[in-house]
Amino acid sequence: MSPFRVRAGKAAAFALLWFCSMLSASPVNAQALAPVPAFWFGGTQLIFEHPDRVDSEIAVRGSDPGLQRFLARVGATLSWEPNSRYVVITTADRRTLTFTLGVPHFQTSSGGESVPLRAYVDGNDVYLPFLTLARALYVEPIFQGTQYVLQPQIGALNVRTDGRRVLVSLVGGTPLRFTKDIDEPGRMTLVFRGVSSTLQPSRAVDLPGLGRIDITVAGSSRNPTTVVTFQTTPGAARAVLPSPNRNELDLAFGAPDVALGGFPVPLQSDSTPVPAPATALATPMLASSIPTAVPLPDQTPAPYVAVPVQTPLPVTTASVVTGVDVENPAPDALLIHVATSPGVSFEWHRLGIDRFYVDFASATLTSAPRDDRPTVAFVQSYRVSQLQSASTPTVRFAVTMTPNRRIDVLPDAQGVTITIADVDATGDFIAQVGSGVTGAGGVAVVPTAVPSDVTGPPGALPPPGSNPRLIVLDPGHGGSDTGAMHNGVVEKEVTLDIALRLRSLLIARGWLVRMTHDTDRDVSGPNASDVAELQARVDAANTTGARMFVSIHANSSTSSVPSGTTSYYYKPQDRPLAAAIQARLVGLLGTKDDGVIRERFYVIHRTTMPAALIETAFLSNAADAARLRSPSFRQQIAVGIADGIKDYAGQPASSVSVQQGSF
Amino acid sequence: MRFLRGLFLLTVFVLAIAVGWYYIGHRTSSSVSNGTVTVYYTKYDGTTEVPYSVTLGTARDVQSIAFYAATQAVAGPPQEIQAIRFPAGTHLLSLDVRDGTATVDLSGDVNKYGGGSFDEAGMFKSLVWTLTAVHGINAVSIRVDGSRVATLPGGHLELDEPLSRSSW
Repeated sequence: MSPFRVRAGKAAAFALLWFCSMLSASPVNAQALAPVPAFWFGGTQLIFEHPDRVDSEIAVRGSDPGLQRFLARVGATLSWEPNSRYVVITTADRRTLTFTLGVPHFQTSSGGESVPLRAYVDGNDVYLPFLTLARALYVEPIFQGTQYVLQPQIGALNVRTDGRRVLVSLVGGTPLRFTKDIDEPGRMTLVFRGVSSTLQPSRAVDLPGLGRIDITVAGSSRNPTTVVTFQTTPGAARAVLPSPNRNELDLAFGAPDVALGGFPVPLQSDSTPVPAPATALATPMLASSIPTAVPLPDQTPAPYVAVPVQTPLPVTTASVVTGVDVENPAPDALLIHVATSPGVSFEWHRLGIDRFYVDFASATLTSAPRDDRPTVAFVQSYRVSQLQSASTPTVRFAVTMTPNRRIDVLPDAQGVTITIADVDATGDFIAQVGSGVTGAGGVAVVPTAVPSDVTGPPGALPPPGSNPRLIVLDPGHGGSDTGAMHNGVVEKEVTLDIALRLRSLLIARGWLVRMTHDTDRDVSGPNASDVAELQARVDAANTTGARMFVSIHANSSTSSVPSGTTSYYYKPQDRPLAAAIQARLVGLLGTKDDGVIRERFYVIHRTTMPAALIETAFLSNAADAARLRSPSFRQQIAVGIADGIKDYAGQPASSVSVQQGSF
Repeated sequence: MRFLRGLFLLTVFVLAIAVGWYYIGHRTSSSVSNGTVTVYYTKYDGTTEVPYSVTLGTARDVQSIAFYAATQAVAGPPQEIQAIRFPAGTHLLSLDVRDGTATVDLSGDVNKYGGGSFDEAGMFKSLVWTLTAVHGINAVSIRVDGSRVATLPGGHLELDEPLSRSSW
């Protein structure tokens, strides 16, 4: 069906949208035929081609130009592979939202939320619950009689300290522009017009420099104003810091004598939107300007491919959990296999630091319940039982362990394998929630389940590839090491952005992904030597038995002449990996093909599994640098690398053998 | 008596010439022909080494030839030639040949290479190609400001073990 536009009045829009939703009705959503209201976002109407009203939700097609326009406006990208159960959305503030087809909730890096409408596939495209998605992107749909007003919110307020400074970041569903209302020794007030807030009205900070943050929302729902008041210690210094993305405002507070970095908070961040050129050069990731002072143009929509689905979704029949097997293959690992019928949906949660459970939905326990104590000290007990309280029959497997153990959950053809490792996995890299479906080819969504800052147990390393579904991604440089800087582009920012995009793509294709670092930081520590830093990246792969290691860089030269893409390998047997990635990259990017080159680079020499180092393009070449500044180009790089990995390794292994396996 | 003295002087003279000839002949590297040495520079494709003939001074021992060749490699080719160059100001602090390995001590200016693996790999490849063309040298060990280094700051290339042509 060809795209159409509605320029007539609301009634006409209504009628057409309703008509359209009639046309796209299908068995999957046959009950859903109420008219779809109009959407207004930032003064313009958002038109969806095939929206469907399902109960309280609006289902919107993944490739719908209206949805793509909305995602571009909020700085998010969507990736979905036909045959994949996972739709991954990467947000402007680098969160990952994952919708699993047929599962009534979605996950973010920090947790999960239920949705009234499960994501589903119809025809050749995926449908997503739009209202839920908008809320997750900090845009509140406000229903007004016949239409929705999509109202950007300040959706996240993060406070942390690096010892000297208190760092506050506000994240919104729109670039956060403000006027400074009050700037007194003990108080600073910023006013955000056209933005509402879902934050708690008050947040006690109680750190040197900043005492409390108060948030009030005024105005109408169509034109709200959010006032954020920072109660500082008298005389405290305050500054605006460069922010990694346009929807984020980063502030720093500290004692008067503390060097905060950044810029003095201006009276007013520039609110005059600059018409965006078609090829936008300015992007949110450049640290060279005050982020709030530069209205940034809309990003180019990310590439999105929707091709026919070849296999139908798994149909759940009689779901049973038939038993639990416990193995203690190594002193530091406990392997628990929960045997189920194929196609059982499960969901796992971590409660606090020492409890963990997996729920198997709509399943019946066919063996006797168990409440056992394993022989290892780091797991106190595990239980499997039929939940009596749940409305649908649910089998729960629960574990109590010593605090901060690492847990991996991997479904396979016979059920689910849960690995509990006697490794201290303290930090915010432990996923709290995950889900998946058992059966051949079953994969779990574990956005951050593999801790990225934990090295494995000392002593024997697992054989390379013993974790056949794990790929380690190494964004080049980071933290105190900026990498190369040319033409206003900083290598460490580009490499991290590409790696995060690539992570989403690989997760969507069923891989487990571990990042050497997923925030802008040093891997081994800010004062570590250069070699310790590189070795920490190598360890991230060698200690986990990863299947592959890919390091992402941007090249540079003192000359502005060299340009193009190069893939490096060192171990002769790794050449096919580098060659596969190089072929896809130059094919997709149209950059100069600088070839597949052997160099004794530290990280690809010392990693024990197939390893490649990708120099995506030259920062020192004006044309290459301009392209690297474009989010859609960086997305294409991620797609190219993911496709190269697919050419080299095929699909991830469908079942997991934790002890054995090499290639 | 006078004849004997003349014969003695002639013998000493001939012996001196023979010893001198032998000595000079043996300390001259076989890669040196016509008083030139080959220096390699890495082209802008990042891999191809282009040889240049550079005229030598008077010294013909391995150490001196190697020092001269490495100095030329670090200095870079004439400006009009497109090739990867060491950062401006980089120079040799010392060069020592022992057991077939040349230990090159570079000035700290090399750390200003700019962070790109392209320049980093290209400049060291040129240095290694140049030095291993000198007879009697088959590996190159890098030091910076007198210290062993594992990599350059923010670097990619491994420098903690000697580099040879087989490293590429």
